[in-house]
Amino acid sequence: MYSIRSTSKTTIALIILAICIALLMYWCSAVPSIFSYYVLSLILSKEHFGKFHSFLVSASFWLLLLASANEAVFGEKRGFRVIKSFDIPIFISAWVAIWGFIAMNTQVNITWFWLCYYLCLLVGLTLSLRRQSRIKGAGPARSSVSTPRILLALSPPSRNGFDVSIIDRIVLYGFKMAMLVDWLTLFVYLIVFFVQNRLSI
Amino acid sequence: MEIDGDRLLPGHVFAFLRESIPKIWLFWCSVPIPFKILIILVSISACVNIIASLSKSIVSNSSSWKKAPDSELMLSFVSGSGQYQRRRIYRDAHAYLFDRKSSKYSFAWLSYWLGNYENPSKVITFLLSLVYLVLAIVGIIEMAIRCFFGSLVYFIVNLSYFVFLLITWVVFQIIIPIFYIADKKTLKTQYCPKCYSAFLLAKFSCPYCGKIHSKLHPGKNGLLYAKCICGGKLPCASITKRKYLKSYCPNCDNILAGPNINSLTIQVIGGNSSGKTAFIAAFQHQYIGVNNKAGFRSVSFFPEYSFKELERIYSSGKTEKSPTDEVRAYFIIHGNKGSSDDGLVFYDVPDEIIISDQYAKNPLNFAYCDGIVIIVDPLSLLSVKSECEAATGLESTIGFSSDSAEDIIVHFINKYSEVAGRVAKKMSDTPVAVLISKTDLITINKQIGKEAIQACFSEKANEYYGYEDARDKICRQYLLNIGLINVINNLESVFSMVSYFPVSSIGHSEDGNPFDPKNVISPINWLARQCHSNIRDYTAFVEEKVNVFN
Repeated sequence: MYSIRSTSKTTIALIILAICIALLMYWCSAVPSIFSYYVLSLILSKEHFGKFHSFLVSASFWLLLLASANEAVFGEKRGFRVIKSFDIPIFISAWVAIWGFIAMNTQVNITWFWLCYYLCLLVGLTLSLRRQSRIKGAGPARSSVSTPRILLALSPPSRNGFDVSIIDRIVLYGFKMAMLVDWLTLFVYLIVFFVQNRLSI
Repeated sequence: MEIDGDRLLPGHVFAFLRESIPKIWLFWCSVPIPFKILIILVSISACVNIIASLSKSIVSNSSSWKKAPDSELMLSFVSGSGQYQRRRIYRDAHAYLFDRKSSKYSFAWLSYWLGNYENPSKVITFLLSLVYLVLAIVGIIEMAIRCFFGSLVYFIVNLSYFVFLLITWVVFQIIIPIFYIADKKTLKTQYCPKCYSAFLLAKFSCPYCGKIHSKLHPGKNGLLYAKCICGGKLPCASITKRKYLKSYCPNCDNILAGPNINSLTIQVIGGNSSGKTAFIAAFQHQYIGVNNKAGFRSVSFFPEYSFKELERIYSSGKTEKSPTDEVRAYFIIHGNKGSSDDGLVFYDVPDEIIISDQYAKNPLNFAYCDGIVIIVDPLSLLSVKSECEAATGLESTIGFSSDSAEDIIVHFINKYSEVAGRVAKKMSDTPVAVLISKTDLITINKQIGKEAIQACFSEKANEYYGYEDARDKICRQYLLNIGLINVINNLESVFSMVSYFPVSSIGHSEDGNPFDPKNVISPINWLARQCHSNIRDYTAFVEEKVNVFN
């Protein structure tokens, strides 16, 4: 049994983190600088590759953020330990910042940038999916030696046999499914992107 | 705003408010509507809880009373309990005010309750924690408003209430002596029948818990009613019928017949087996019977077991020897509407107490008697006894007194003078009725019976002032004739008012038939008239009814 008072500590940490990120973004947009100009240009260049590409990139990044928040909630992370749950999106954001720094001094190939971005997202999703699977209650309902692992992961959560609430297991299952679908979509679109833009690479 | 020197004058405050209020209003109009609604709700909740905390503490302390020092009574509301309650109300109201759990109708309580809510799902607790955080912030604001304004309001209310109680206390201190003196004036001096101590105010017992209170009078415990520590309300003044509580002697805790009886106290003196108890049994039967039939105000008697014994003696027609070591007191009480009752008190004094010097207690009851009845048994004289036996047989003289009437009278006068502090050569004003008993015997009846006296009075009416005078003189002459001149001389040298009566308590020999008393009321009626007692109306009425019946 979990009390709301104890869970609210995680909530407070997440809210503070969100406020800090919002303040940072506000500062970046309010304080003009060449660095933020190049980073913003890099991010907005996704529009050149079509609406689906733009949507997929944004949705994947938000899914990573939500998965990190989910991991923080289920891991009952408090205080600065919340940041550890967000290390994957933070790394991706840092990677984008490095590219922005590079773009300040050199001519950057946008296609290479987005190709690498897709790879980063794939890796990030893979790591995040593994982490979600390790959360208590996210495991397969039935344990069987003969059943393939992928099928086990796809099997719906069981109502009985665990001390984790069925709602939690449904939510974890939902996240896993969403991340799996997103991973597959990213993988397919990575190939399509490569094929479409092989001449400009 | 300018301040005059270093002083902040009221005018400056008003000027500041005049300037600030429009700015505050402008700010309030600029606040978004959802926030406005929230602020209004929080303010209303805070105000409601301020009032609720105060009300709850008032209700919970309304039955808190302060015990008076050295007493089992509570101080009255104005004398001390009011301030006691005020302090407790103030303390408890603050405790409720600062306790977010005290009222369920507040945001603070809601956030507290939600915070303690448990659920097996982390997702649900996470989502609810978002609501909890909002409620917690609102709850903190509400508690801040509640505590600040509540403390201010309570301070003002407490101060006003304190001043009000102080004023009423001062007024009360002025009124108390008035009520006390007025109540004291209604009290008559009472005497304990066991230890003979004199007192004005008895002890009273609480009818709810039985605790005995010694200072139940108008005072700091109450003007008209006082509160016992058990919570029971007791009348503490004559006008609130304190007399109906069970009362006890303040000296020896003996239970009393009543706390404020305007009594006619009569000592019944006589030798052994002279008929003292028989006389009292006969009197009480006739007296109480006639009063009850007439439907007079309630007549009661005390102690009940003693009167049951008297009635048993009356009904059986056989007397028994009374205890020799105790003075028995019999109370007949007429309940009045006022603060005191009227009563007749008989003290049945054994001759041993008068004759013997070995008793530890003096018969202190002699000191406060209003009248004396001395029963002379003519059969104590051998000549009279022989004459009766010759006329009516041996059975008629069974149960005669072996004590000499003269010895009894002499010892009684000595004891009386010692206890009452009578100075030699000074006569006592206490009326004495000398009863010549056993006048049912033929030889005695022929001389001092009713018919004999009536005949003599009719014959020599010019020698007497009236029938009563004739009765008195004829009986006196009889005592002279049978040789009891010393009895008469001793009595008439000490007491200024002596009258003689013929009496027959049983009315016949002890043959097992109920008493048939003759003339037992008139001696008491005479005593009541001499003492100007309120009882004289009752005794006169009873005597008239008894004479009509006879």
